[in-house]
Amino acid sequence: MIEIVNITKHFEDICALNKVSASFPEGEISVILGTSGSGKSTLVRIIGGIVRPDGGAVIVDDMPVYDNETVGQRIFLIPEEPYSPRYMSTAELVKFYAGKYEGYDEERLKALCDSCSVPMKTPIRKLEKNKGLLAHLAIAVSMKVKYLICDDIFSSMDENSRKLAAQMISSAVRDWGITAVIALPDTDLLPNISGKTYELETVCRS
Amino acid sequence: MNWKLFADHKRRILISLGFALLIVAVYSGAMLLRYGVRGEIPFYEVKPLTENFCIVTLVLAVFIGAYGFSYLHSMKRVDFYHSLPVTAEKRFRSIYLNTCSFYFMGIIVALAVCLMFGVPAGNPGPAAFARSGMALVLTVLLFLTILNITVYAFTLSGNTVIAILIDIVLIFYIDLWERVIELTCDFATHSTFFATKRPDISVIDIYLGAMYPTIRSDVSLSVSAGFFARACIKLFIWATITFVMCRRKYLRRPAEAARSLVAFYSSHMLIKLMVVVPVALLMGNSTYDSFYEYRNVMQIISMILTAIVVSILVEILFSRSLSAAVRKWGSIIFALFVIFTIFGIMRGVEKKYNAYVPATGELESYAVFDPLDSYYYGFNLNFDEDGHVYDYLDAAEYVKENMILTDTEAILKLAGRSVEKDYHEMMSPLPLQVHYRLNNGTVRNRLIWIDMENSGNRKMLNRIVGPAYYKEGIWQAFTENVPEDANVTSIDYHDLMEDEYRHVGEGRESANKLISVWRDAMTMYDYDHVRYKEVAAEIEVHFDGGMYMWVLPLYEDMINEFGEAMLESIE
Repeated sequence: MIEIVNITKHFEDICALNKVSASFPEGEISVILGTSGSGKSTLVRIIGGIVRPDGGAVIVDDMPVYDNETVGQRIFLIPEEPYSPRYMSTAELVKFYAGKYEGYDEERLKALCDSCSVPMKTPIRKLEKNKGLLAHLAIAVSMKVKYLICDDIFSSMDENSRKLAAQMISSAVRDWGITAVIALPDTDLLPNISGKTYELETVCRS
Repeated sequence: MNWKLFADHKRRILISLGFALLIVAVYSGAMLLRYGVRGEIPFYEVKPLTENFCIVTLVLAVFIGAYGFSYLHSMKRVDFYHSLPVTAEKRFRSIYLNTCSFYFMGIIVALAVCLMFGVPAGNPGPAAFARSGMALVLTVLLFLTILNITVYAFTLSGNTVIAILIDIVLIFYIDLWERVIELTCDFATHSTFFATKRPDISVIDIYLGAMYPTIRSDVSLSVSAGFFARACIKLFIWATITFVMCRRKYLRRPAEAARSLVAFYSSHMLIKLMVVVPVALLMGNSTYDSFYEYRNVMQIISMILTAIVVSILVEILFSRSLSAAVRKWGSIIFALFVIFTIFGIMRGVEKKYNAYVPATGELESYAVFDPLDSYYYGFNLNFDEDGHVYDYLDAAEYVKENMILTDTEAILKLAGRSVEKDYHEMMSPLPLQVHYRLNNGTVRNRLIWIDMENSGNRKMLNRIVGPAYYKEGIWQAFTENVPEDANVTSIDYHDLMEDEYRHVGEGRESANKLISVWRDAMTMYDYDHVRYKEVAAEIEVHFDGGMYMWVLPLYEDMINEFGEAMLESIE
């Protein structure tokens, strides 16, 4: 389970997050809702262990997340603008990740790429934007991880791609037991996703 | 260790090969390839060669460091690499070693090329291998230090352009402060006997100071090894300190700093002070030297204005807003406080230092050196049994060893008068380096200024420089003849007024005859008639094919009096 307790984060004079608390149960989809500038991306990065909060803690399976390799092995983070090294294709990028995590499901990845018509041998940067984002999502879902943390990559997708994305995430949770935490500005973006919703402005503040 | 933390290995290999080619092109000249072909590196080729090493190493280290750590300035790339399940410590280690591997792969390929082509072309010998090895170690240590500084700069900032600017400032920061101290406090260079005691602190000074004697074939291997060992220790300490600093900064760097110009808010003020303070002090010194009247007031105004302008410029770089920059007047006031505190301390210390004059009974003997004289005396040579020059003595060391003046009254009077009057107020100031030897065995070095308009001062000077033992302490030719078997390849006359060179003779006998007449001419040497004017000509006695020479100055009055006798001596 992922638990966030009194997370506070400031950027110079701006308070991005003020004592935010929540828990995201295992085997489910949790949605963090918030408008632009509400601190969704910051919270996602904190949960993913990239950014250290000024106050509070993120506990994953009873362990702190920040700079923790054991916890890191269980989490896969997709940021709002995913990066892929130049010339790296989906097949190459997944092998790069596989060296860091406990491996990936090759069959699963192939099936997902086929269903989204994502060519595996073409450099991701050369793919059309929607396909590129779906490629990243397919890689994330194929990794043998317990938690998928996904920032808002959906706002920049077209409707068809969002449907494919929603299917991927739902089947990952349903069939492979992944816990997904996704950040969205609006639930209408992914109407096919059902899960607990946490509105960032009104999430528990102790 | 995860060597594959960085993706895109093909590009890495290509870049490494590119560096290898560059290293071969620059390093091969002085490493085994040149040794193999030439057998040695003459001393007159050393300087540009070692500076090439230095510049290329600097550029490579900055480029490689930037290549490895510039990802910190892109939020996308930070998200990518920092989301991987690797601790920050392991990540740093992996990126750092990957980054270094570019350079080391290049060095290995370069060495292989040198060995392949250089060794079959000639027989370098074990000394050449030893020198190449020492040069390589020094260059690697320099590379690592500059690399660490670059990494530190890139972790300090969230912007690549700002990081490179910070990097350049940091690399040359000690050199910058040495210049500030040199200008603000005269004692730093003037009051040290020929500035020989000033230790090399900056990495570039340490490197260049050791590389010259290390790769020169005319310096004995044991002497080279001594220079190498001392420089090695200093560079190793620098490399270690900078490594610890850059690693610590990397581990503490917030990931979100990719957005901002300065990664650590607390570093903001420090970076500003690091730039504003030395620049303001330098501008103040420059203004002081440019004005004759009201120079002290102009210096202060200049420092204040520079501090304000540079503070605002730095703040604009950080905040990207002129109004925000101008609002931060508190930091400008603090910067001014720091500037004037440092300025006050430096001036106070300098005043006290320069005001030192030994007490009358304290001084045993002394040596003096008029800096202008040093220009005219060439080398102080050590000859072997066969008359060949195997070593030479630095000008300062020769004077300190050979000049023992005991007219303490004269020098103490001159030193006392020097303290009473600022040399800027003198119409004809003469700087004189003094090496005091005290009764208790200690030595002190100071620069004193003599007002040459004062006839009393000139009388004192003549008491010091008139007698033979002054000249014996400066010019080797005053006491020594050209040794038996020494090879005097040429005697030349250089007319400084007409700027003409004339070959007038060769051989030991002619040289000794000419030197004998010159010694007679030098009895005219004093500050009233002779020394007050410019040197009119030089006699150059060249040894060993021109590599070494004695230079004997001639003043106009001496030429008028002894010119014919000199000509007769070489006919």
